[in-house]
Amino acid sequence: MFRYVARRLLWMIPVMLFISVITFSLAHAVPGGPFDREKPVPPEIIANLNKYYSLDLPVWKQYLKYMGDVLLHFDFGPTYRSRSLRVNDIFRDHLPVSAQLGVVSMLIAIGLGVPLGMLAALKQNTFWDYLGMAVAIFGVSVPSIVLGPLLILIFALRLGWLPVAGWGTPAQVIMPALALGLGSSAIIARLTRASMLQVIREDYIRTARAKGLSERLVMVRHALKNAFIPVATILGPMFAAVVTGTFVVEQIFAIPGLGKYFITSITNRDYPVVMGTILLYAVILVFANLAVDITYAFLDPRIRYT
Amino acid sequence: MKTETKTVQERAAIRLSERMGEPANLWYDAWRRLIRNRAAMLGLIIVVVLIAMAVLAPRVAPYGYAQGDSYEAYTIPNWLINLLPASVKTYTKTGEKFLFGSDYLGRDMLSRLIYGTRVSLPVGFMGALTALIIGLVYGCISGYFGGAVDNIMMRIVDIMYAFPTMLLIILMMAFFKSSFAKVQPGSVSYTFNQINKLVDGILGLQGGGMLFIFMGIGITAWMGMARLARGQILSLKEKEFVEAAHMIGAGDIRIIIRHILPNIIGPCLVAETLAIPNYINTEVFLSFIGLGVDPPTPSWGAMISEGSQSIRSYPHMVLFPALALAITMFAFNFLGDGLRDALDPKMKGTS
Repeated sequence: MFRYVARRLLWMIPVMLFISVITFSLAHAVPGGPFDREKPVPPEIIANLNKYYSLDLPVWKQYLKYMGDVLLHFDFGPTYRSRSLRVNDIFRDHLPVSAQLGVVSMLIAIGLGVPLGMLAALKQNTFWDYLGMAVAIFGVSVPSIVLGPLLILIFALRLGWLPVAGWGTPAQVIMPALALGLGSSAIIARLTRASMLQVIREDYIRTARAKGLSERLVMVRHALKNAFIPVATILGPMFAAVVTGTFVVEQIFAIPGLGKYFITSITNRDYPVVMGTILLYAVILVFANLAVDITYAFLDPRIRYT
Repeated sequence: MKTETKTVQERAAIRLSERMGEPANLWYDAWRRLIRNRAAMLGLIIVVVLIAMAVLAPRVAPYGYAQGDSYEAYTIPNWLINLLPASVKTYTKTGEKFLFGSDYLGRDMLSRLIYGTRVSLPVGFMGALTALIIGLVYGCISGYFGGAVDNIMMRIVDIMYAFPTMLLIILMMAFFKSSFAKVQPGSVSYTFNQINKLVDGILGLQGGGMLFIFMGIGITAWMGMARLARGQILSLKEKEFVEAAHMIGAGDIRIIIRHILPNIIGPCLVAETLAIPNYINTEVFLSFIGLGVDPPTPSWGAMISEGSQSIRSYPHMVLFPALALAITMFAFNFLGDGLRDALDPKMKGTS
């Protein structure tokens, strides 16, 4: 197991290099520069700015310089939008916000999706099954861009139970986390149901029942554990996506998260921020997938890593 | 209870009698199953109504989508005002003129919603169509010829897949927006701009920039389809009927088109129908972040974005586009689920 994890971590290096090269070249390939304004800026000033941020160098030199700073000093560079802020500051200020929101929404997604999917599978073709599938269709059909405003309209404006928007108090986390989590919970519920339906027909479930285990034990320890494997697979990318922030939900609920920077950095040609956010996402994704692979071994002892 | 449990033979006999002795036809049977599925029929009806609205937009919409008087901005219809918090009444204008109220420029919300179907529906259908065409061709070649061809083609898909789709689309859109904006006649971007104008003209949305959205979505949409088609072909090409076709001397192209495609088109169609909501959602997201259609073209995403900025004061501006989007997504999801159940009854309710 230890060797497997070590090898996976070593594999991260070429993957990260590959992603960084592609992102860097794509970002620079998009025409326009970071200092384009509606009102034309004098060329001397642009030249000075380019020199200050070493944008006058060839792209491959810029890349080497950037990667050198990241690897040797853990410095993700400046942001062209502000003279006092650096990308590290953006991470420090905004990543915790997005991460908190993301973790809560993942808890909602799993806490709602897994039991619903299990119930739907165990009581197939009953009320619970139809309820589960209705929730699944609802979750797929109502994206967070629709759910967010609707939640605000109902629970904040009409009923007045929760604050409209903002960040800081626990009450302000509920609605954005729901808007983010319900869609994921629908996907999880569908997947759990489908894989539960497959697992409960397996021979080892019959064996477990035959040896006199209680139904609850059979379901939780034997069925769910095996049925959870495909669910765990999608949790990795899902986790990475919500933890690094989501533009739409943050925008609707006025949350100072990281999601905004993924979008604005590209439209502003703020290259260090583009690189920083993408690399951060990629690192979290790789670690999340590694964690998923390790949980496989716990869920199914037949899966061994050497 | 007795009548519920029929033997396989009895059920086959019933199916045969329903067809009144006609030979089995996959599409006819699927159609019969589809119209018996109430949710799918509801979805189909909504989709047809939406298409009719898009086609007849100039006749159905009470006003133009870009026509507005800022004097009438932020009007909330009378029927809605009682559902809103009482404080809204103290500062807002109300009126009967606009059924769904008006936006921050005094444009009729209903008309903009109706014209918005001309953005959302073409995006959904074009996304599905490009994915189907590129994905099928790519997947068929890769799966049918196998070996090194398959290996190289699928690794390309893997690399594209590993890249976050949204990032790719955003980069593409940023690229299109900035490089195709300024043009001299004769250049490549000029040609693209002319095609774009033509597309916008056909859709009746001048200056919308729809072609670039089609391209952005199409470029990223085909990979899933390519994988699906390849997988289907891999399992089919070893079957006896393909071998038989080979034996009587049919060419590769003929075998793919006449013998393999009819067998894989069902699952591919289902996958694309279920993907239509995703394409619509992508356009809504792009317009939300300001990289979608250009104003004043009405996109539901842009309307939700505008509305969510003043959600506290003027909730009607976000409510209607959000509901319209939700209804459309429901309709396509119901239809797609129904289509899957109809074309492949074994798959019913599994995913």
